[in-house]
Amino acid sequence: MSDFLFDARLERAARWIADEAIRPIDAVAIAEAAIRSARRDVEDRQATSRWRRPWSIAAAAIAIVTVVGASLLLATRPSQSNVGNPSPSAPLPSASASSSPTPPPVSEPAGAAGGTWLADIPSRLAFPNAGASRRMSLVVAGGPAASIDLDTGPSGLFDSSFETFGVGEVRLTTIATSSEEAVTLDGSPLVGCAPGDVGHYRFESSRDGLVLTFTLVTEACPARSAVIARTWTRSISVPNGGGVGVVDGFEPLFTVVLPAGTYLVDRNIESRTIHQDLPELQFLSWKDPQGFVDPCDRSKGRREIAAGADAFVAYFRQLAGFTVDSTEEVTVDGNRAVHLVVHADESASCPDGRLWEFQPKAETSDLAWFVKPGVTDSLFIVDHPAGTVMFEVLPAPNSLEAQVIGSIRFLNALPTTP
Amino acid sequence: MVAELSSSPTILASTVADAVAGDAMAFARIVRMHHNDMARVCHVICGDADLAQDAAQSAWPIVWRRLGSLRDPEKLRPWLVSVAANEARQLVRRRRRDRVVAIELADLRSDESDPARRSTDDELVSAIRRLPAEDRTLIALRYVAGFDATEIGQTVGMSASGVRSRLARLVARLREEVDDV
Repeated sequence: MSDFLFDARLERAARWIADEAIRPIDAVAIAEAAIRSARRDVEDRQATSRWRRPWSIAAAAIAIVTVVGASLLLATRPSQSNVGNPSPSAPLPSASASSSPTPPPVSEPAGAAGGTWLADIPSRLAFPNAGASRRMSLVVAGGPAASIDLDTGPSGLFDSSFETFGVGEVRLTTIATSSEEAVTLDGSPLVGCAPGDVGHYRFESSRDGLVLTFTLVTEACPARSAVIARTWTRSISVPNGGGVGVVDGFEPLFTVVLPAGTYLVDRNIESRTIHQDLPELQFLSWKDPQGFVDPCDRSKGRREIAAGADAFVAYFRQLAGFTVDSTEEVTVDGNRAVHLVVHADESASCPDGRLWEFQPKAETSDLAWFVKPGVTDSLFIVDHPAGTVMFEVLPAPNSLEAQVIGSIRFLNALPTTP
Repeated sequence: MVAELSSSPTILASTVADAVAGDAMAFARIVRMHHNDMARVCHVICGDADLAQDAAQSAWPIVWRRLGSLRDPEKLRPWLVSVAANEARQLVRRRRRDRVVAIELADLRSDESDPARRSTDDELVSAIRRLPAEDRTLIALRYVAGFDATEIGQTVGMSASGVRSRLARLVARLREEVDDV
């Protein structure tokens, strides 16, 4: 074969490998996470330069106090510190970028209101094409700008600039409108927004940062006020910087506190994985996990696991290739739970090197979780009235495990507007 | 909703300028246009689709911070790819993921219909996968990103002539491995 033809073959083979990486992406979420991460990195570097002084012992002592203080604070409230926050590595210089890059201007942050906030759609309020939507999200993003997304319906509604001023006051100005915003209240249509419409609200954040309440002051757009003026709960099921937030992957809802960081979220059916790379930390949650008949061959089908932690432990005790290291009775937010430590045997041998463990009951695709031989799982299986709920903090073992699992609080419902 | 980023130079320049000025939606349009392209290059380097996505995602904060330094918006794609490729190289060095969630991918075999040819392609794919990460980086930048030797050199910190000779040795080695000599 000629050099040219082999080159073409090589290109085809390389592209074949490359195409395996293609995934559906949420560009807005990736962009928002990147912007938040970049801001924190700038803040980190500014903080670092302030502490670069000759009195290294004093600086070290202060740093230790800060770390200890932040750790204690984490146990009781979301931390705003940068402890444990990774700094993205700098790429090598390229010809198309100057060697002394200047950070682009950073828009004014939305302060305590920044992030994604959840609320149930009240029964009195109806969106035209909400479908089966039960919840809505208020997304206060870089720009700063705010908009409303429905959980299974349209998104980007009431697209408005978000300008904070004074103490806890915000001015929303309509940027764009949509026919999907034609909301009704008690069956009566509300006057919609026009570009440039201004709304003035007060907002107040709860002490722990979990809840944010908007109160109407004046508004040119009644439809927007019917949606915005309410109590919202911070979501941690979207790319986030850690702290406290609600995970809305399944019922029951729960809140958890994660160390400050830069997290992305895998949203799957009745499962959420909130993870950051450096330092690596993953918080995983599943509902009603079901097993596999043969951990080496998922095509042999799922093994049904009855509700409850005991049934799940019994599944692992009989599962070929796994050894239960320990089980411990614990409680998670007052609910009976079992802490199961189990590992895949080093000697376990499956054709593809993976031992398939489980997937949520509601998951009907090929999405499932596995380990490789020698890897340990540390699972907290909770007997909750709404079903079996399972959590894990990775990598395991993890010094943050007790802290993260101990911060879980189940919710019967999202807080409603007072 | 994010609109597709037009490849028109004027619109591209305006989108980059908007993003540099702090427009998150303009930045999201750039993400939408280029993320998977970056992940594809990263996948050849990392050999793991999840790690490739991680690498591409960790490139975006850097891009946001340094976008203002991009002198020529038409060089956006190679710049993004080189940032992502370096993130992938860093991740490969620093981290070995030992527990992952996986979706069985559909069989994405090449569309070669000739069984003999397909078998040889599989051999070549396997041979690429067995290469060290630094060699896979060269393959990714040359054959997936379409970089020339100068651009590869700027990305990985080598001279263009060094890249050319190393690539030549690499290609010769791969040919030997798949008995195409």
